[in-house]
Amino acid sequence: MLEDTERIRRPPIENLDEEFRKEALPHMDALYNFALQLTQDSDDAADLLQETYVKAYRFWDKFEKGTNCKAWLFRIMKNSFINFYRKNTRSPEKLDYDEIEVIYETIKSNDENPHNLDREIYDNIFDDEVMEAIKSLPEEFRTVLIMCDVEGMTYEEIADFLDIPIGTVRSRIHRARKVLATKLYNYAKSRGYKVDEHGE
Amino acid sequence: MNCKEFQEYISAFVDNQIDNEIKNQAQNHIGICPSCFFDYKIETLAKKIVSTKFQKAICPESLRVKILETLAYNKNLASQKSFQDKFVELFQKIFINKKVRISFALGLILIFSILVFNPFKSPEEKYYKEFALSVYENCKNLRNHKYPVKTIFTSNPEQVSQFIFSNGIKNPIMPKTDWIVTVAGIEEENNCVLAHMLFKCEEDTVYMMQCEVDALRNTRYYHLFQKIHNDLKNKTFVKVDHGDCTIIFRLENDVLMTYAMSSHNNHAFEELITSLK
Repeated sequence: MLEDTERIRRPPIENLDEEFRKEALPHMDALYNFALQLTQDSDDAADLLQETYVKAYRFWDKFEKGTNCKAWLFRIMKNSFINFYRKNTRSPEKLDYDEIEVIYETIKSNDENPHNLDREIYDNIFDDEVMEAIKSLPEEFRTVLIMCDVEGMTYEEIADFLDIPIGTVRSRIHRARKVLATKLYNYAKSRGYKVDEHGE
Repeated sequence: MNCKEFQEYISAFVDNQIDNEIKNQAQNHIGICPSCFFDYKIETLAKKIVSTKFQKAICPESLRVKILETLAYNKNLASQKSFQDKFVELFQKIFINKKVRISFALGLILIFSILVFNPFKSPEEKYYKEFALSVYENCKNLRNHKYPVKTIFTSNPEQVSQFIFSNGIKNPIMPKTDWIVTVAGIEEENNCVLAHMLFKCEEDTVYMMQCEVDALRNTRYYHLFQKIHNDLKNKTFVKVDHGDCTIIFRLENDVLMTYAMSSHNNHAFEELITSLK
């Protein structure tokens, strides 16, 4: 372990443009996360992240100072992903939204108390399962959810970033949450059943 | 606000991304519509789950270091680009002016002509030097002879025969051929005749070598020969030193002759020059 830390050299970042250091480098974690979500593979994510930073540095003089650097970096990453990675990654799972809608309506018609439901799902769900459920979402749903709920971007920023109307951002987020909630409800239900079984 | 309108704004309502008026209407709607309230609660729950349970991955330190190194060690990634840009901009700025473009073109033409025609060096001098080199190469083994090596340069075979006979060589073997003799030379006491490329002589016999005239015409020597021939029309002779050999160019009856001799034999040369004058 100690050897590992020692082996990591300190890169001469003082060579880098000072503004780039201040503006672009702090977003590396967020970008890495986003890369993971896009590629679903840690090696591909590493390549994508590196490519994004190399491009960003090369075109740093094109970045309008004072605008949202994070959004600018995300856009570079998304374009790189579209150009080079999308072909190689597995195609997103087909989602039968109508089927989800039917299940959702069933849950709703079960007369579940939404307050209980909140507690039941939230308390019975593991982080891994949340990650699994998010991973299973189609890419267009996954992207908006991450941008909105993880990265805290505004609808306007998302619309600008994805180059879609703001109405589409609203409906996409709404649908993404509906699908996610339905999946998580099923997870929680299966867990609740198991808990009962063990309890006997 | 009806259910359909609420469904349109439900995500924005949860995320607080709508203006106050719509927000109030939405608030009122969920107060009276249990179905939409259910949807609202589920949507809020989904948001809460994602924002609190999503495991943010941290960029591995080794990857971070690798990227920083890539950037830091290739700092000309950025500067290279801007340097290119600057260069192109400068280039465009300079050449946007029509006058600059014309003078640049003229300058290029001037440089090109200097390279091709070289006005600083007399062209004749160049031709003589080059021709002298070929004469020297051909009479290397004769340069220590007592008398200068005399060579005739002509494309007329009759002039060659005349040259040979007038210098006392008898019975030259002249094969019947379409080839034209262009070069012939004769040395002191008729013992040896200088061979340029085309023939040699032993005792009183001349062996003519063959040369395709068209092939010769395409050589640079033919070109030099013509230039020198023209230049000599206004001169008694031209003397060129090459290595340890001195070569004199001269027109005799409109036929180009050269006399080549070791530079050390000053006495013989002085005599020759006096006789030529």
